[in-house]
Amino acid sequence: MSNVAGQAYSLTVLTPVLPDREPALRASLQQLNEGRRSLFEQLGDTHLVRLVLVDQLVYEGPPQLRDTLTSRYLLFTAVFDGALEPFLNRLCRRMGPVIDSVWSHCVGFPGTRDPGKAITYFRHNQIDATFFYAAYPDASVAQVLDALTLRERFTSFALQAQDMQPTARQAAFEATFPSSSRPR
Amino acid sequence: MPRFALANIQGNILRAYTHPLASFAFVHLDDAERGRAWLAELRTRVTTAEPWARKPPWTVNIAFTHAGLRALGCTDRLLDSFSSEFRAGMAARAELLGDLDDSAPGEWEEGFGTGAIHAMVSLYGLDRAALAAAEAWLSGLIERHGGLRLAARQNAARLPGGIEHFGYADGMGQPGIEARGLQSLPGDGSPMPGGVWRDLQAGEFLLGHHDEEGVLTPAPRPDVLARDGTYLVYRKLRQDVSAFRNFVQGQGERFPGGPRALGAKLVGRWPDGTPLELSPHRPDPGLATDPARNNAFRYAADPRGFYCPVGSHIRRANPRDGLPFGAQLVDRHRLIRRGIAYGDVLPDGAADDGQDRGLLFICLQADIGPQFEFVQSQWLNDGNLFHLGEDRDPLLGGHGKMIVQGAPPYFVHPLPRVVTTRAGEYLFIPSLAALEFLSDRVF
Amino acid sequence: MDTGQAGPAATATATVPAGNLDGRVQAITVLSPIKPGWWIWLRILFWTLGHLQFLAKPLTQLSFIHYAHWAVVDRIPFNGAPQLGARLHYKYLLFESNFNGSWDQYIEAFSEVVGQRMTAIWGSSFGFPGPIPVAPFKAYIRRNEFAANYYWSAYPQATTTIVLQALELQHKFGRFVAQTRSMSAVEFADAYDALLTDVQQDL
Repeated sequence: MSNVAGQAYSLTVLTPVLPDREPALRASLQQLNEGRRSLFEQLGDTHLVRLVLVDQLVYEGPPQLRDTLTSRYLLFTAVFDGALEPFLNRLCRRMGPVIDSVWSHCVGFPGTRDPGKAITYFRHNQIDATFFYAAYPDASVAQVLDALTLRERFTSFALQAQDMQPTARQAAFEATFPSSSRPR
Repeated sequence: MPRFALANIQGNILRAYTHPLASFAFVHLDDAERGRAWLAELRTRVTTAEPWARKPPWTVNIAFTHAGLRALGCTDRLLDSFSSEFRAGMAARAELLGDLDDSAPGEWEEGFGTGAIHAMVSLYGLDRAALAAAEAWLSGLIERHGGLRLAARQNAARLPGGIEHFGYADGMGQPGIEARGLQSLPGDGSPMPGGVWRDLQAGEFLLGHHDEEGVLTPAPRPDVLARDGTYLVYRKLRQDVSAFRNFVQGQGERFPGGPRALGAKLVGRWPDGTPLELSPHRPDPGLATDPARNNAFRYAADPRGFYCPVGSHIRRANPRDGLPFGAQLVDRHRLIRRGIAYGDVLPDGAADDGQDRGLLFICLQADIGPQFEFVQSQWLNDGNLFHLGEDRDPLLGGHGKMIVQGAPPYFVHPLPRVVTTRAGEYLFIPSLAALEFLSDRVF
Repeated sequence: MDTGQAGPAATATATVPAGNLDGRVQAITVLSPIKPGWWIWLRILFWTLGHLQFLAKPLTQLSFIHYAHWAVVDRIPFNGAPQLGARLHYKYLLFESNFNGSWDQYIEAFSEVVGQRMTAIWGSSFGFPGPIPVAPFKAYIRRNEFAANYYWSAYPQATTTIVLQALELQHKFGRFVAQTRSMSAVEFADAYDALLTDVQQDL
């Protein structure tokens, strides 16, 4: 299934914007920028999120005929761990107000009050990937964050341990990385 | 094979001057018309790339900042055709270049990075008398024409033995350039299979010629202004010699191999210039003084960096074949270096005397962004492309760690701040025809 | 770089639309019109690329990209009025990538190193000038590119290379902990040196 690479899933959703609602949608997106960083952290298991306003299609000149979009479109892409349904559940249940603030400007959006309907809406507007590349397809967000933290702590330890007597390193190692809290 | 109109190209670009002394005059133009008249006379003394029957006692060359071209009376249309980096000026690029804190443009010497510097007149001399004569000629020229003044002056003098102030032989590893009429040294070009080195296309270093992609590098218009010109990056880098020596001595006592070996690992060469890649355990004076050998090495056989550390200065500044895909990710980021030391030598063992000494770093390239700025920001001030995380160049970085690879590795830390940027400008070196265009055409 | 572009002095991030950047990771979104009939070729191509690691290998070696995907957009889903049914002449190739380094460096590396694959993918779109020389290729991408309005990463300061190094370290560290569990201090010291030798390229 080409939306999947390892345990990662790439979801793309393209939804039409209601007429004259582009400025309001831009404002909502700007508000997201000004909001807390942890906004999408609460989704859990999500690596990346982007939202792009597609206002017109590219025209490269003859022999191409000009295509005109009759609506503006909102492109939403998220890369997350695991399956689609649980992700959409989390999206619509945990982030209801945020989702509403953005997609209320889109045609046919039913709102997250009934999460099931919102999930159906997103699935209806999903664009399947033809090819999905992931540099670390088997690593979940949690694993990546753990690994990054370990790298920092271990480097810091290695710098200090260099100046120690070799036989003192074990005790220092165990103090820094106690068996009870060592990463898997 | 491209033939260069050597009479149209300023000197010290294709072939380095070897004059031991220099004086750089940074000029401010108050009046466009008188500035052009001054240039009209100055340009008749400009030293070109033509071969010398006898080395001239002193040489004259000139380059302009974007503000300087405007001060000369260039139209907006002409000014806008220069590269975005040149138009912005080096001070505006401080964040990208890592010129922060003590190295920030706000701390630079008077006039630099403010738009006040319009032109840089480079005078090289064979001896003190010759340089004095050159300076006298220039002063006379400025005084006679009026409408311009000396905003800053910087003297320079090569150190005995061709070293820079930290004590390391400098100047090796210049790019081999195609059809220059000079036999390139092994190691200077792009590393090819079979031990061969390919000269790089002239257009990487000179506007109006084909570059490594086989096309003309984006250049200013009109063509007469751009052709045979190049961009010059000038950075006055103050070196804290005693801090460097103390650091190497101190860390070196703990480093297996001692201070000398540690210093070599930071730089990538022993002080005499012997490359670590060819002689990792000791300097080799015969090798170091042989130009046919002292730059003839590659990194692909040392991917782990056990001979020459991956993060050492010279390996970062020119990775050769040390990155994936051969030299494809390196060939378009080469620099011609024409730097020269300034300030008096600090004798071995002497305490810090508070004197200003260092390197006037000067590099030449056809495109500042993908060349100088790329090397500075992607290879020197960051480690990601080398899989070194956020580690920086050990000489320029000023903080963090450096890993000296080995079994086991050694961590050099914390790296001291030993280099500070004191002044800088982006300049354009016009060809002789371009100088005529700038001085004689009415705008 | 780009000449003839008037405007205020450029800074490091001035050329990146603010929405395209989070920490060290950058978004690129490209939507290009596919020449008639060529979408079939694209589907075959991507199927092949997916199975033969033909594209994945150099991408991994370049180590710029966290995640990237291509989608052949053959129909735009309809949601009823007031959306007007989209009657488009062409199918569109959507490309999204999340990468580190400057936009210029990214495009240049692609042009230099995977140019043939770029041609295989974008040769089927109108206006593609070829990967080399890079200046027209960059101009083409810019014309077909959309700036993101919102972009977020769970680990914005980590480059792809650093993530891969960290995961590698995590794996080796886990093995080390298991193996040294009941070692003496002297044995541990030797094992620790061996670990450092093994993980030095991951730090």
